[in-house]
Amino acid sequence: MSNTINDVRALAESVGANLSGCDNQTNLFEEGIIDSLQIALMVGEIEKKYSFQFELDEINPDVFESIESISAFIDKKRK
Amino acid sequence: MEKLITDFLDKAVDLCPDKTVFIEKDNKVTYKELRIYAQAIARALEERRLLRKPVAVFFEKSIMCVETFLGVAYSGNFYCLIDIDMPDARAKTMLDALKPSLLITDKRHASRAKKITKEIPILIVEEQIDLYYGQIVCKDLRTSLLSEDILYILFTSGSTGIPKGVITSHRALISYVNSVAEAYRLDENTIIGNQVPFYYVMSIFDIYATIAIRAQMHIIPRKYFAFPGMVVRYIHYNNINTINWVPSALALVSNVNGFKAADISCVKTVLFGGEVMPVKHLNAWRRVLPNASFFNGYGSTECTEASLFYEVNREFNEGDVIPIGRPYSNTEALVFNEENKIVENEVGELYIRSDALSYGYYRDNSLTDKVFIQNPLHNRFRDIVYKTGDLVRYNQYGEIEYIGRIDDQIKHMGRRIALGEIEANVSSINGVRENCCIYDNNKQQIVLFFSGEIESEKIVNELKKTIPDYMLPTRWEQVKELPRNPNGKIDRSQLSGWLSSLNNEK
Repeated sequence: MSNTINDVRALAESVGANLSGCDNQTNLFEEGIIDSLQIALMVGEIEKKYSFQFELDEINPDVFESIESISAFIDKKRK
Repeated sequence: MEKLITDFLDKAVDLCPDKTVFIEKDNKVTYKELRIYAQAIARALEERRLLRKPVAVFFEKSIMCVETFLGVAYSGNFYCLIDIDMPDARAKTMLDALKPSLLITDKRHASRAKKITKEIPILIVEEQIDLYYGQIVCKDLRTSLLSEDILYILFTSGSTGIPKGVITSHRALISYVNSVAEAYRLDENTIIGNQVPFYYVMSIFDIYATIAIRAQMHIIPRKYFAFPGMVVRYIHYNNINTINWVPSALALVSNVNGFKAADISCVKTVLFGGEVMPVKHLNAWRRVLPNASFFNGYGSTECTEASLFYEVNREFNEGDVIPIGRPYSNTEALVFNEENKIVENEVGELYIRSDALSYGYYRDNSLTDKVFIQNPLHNRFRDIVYKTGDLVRYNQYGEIEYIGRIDDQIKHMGRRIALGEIEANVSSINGVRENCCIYDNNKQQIVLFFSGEIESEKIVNELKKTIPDYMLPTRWEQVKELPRNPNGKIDRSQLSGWLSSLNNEK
């Protein structure tokens, strides 16, 4: 789990999100840490790194709420 | 003939008072209510004896923000939106340039407004509406106002690090809305789904074309664009038939085939502009909406919003250029070479002649004089044209194609950015020795090369205080020293070379 969290933080930063002062539960969209374009970029990066495809409705506010929720989703998909 | 932009609203209230004009998440407003709120705000300004004065409007994107725009217009003053997304430092720079007589905001943002300015009096819009609800401004006020009066000032990115305030009159906007209604065949059945922020010029279409043609506009919540299924369902359930989005927003949906979420055949008109539309995404949208009309718009804040348009009427393959087409009916496009000769078969700079031209830049006549110039074709009478700084050429169909910017201004995610403005702000950060921004056209990335004893993360944090997020570099390369040309200037072409070799290594 913690490995995924670190990877997701790195992915988020690689698409331009500024995570300084943001913990793993911080609401990324509401706090303005990540925008719509960056979420789209992250979807692509996650698909590449973990070799799975998002279903359209898996790109939703619950999955992308926080670093923790994204990591949990990835872990679930990889099982 | 309309004299003021508010005349369109008056006409709409006469013809369809109870029609809903704007809709947002938990709120909507009819034409009649819109005018009541706008008039109440106008009364608050009239009571303060303000006329033809700048008024700062500090809001997030909302119906109340539009009510305030129109309130300022009814009062005979002119507004300038300071969006709450702006970092404090940029908001301050804009206020310094504008020197507004007043700042209007809502309850929610009043404390932040007070933090940004100590000098400018602040009005809370809810309080003013309560005070003046149901009142209207003196009837003689309209008589004393002219089409030539300023309606708003919209800031765009400037190369000196200071944003430029572009001045738009009622006349220019009236000319523009009449042109777009004709060009895009809009009517009162039009239902617009707004995507762009109100501080971005494309929103002028959404707000004012809606009122002028007595149509309806939905403010689609920003969050929905992050989750393409949500935005597609929103369009479906609300019967949106017209969208005017930046290509990157259209791409957000087509990238993940968001069309699967719902049937959006209700969409009949797709307008895009502000940046180059990738053919791949245009084709994906056209496949889903075979009966819709697609238009590529081209323009700039200096010409109100758009000046040229192209209706997609043939197939495009990847690598093809989607033209920007031809001018609106009341606009002329002139293409000059460096010798100021009109050219037809070579690349030249585009000049625009139109009554939708703005007055230029607020409190900066010398900059205005550089780009709003006498028509190079003659000297017989005063005939001002706008020198766009854009390189274009005619294609085999006689349509105009956009080539690129003459100077270092770029279009990134739909917004015009002067790389120099980013550089100017980076230089002012302690620890940065030298810096230079390069735009990677292929990857659509703003790449910042910098040197000095500082980490990129610290620069980002500092930069966020002075420039909006969309201007932040997307890639950072720390180097020992930047290359210089023989004149001692930073060598941009050599940096572009570095960038491609860095790209090749990866």
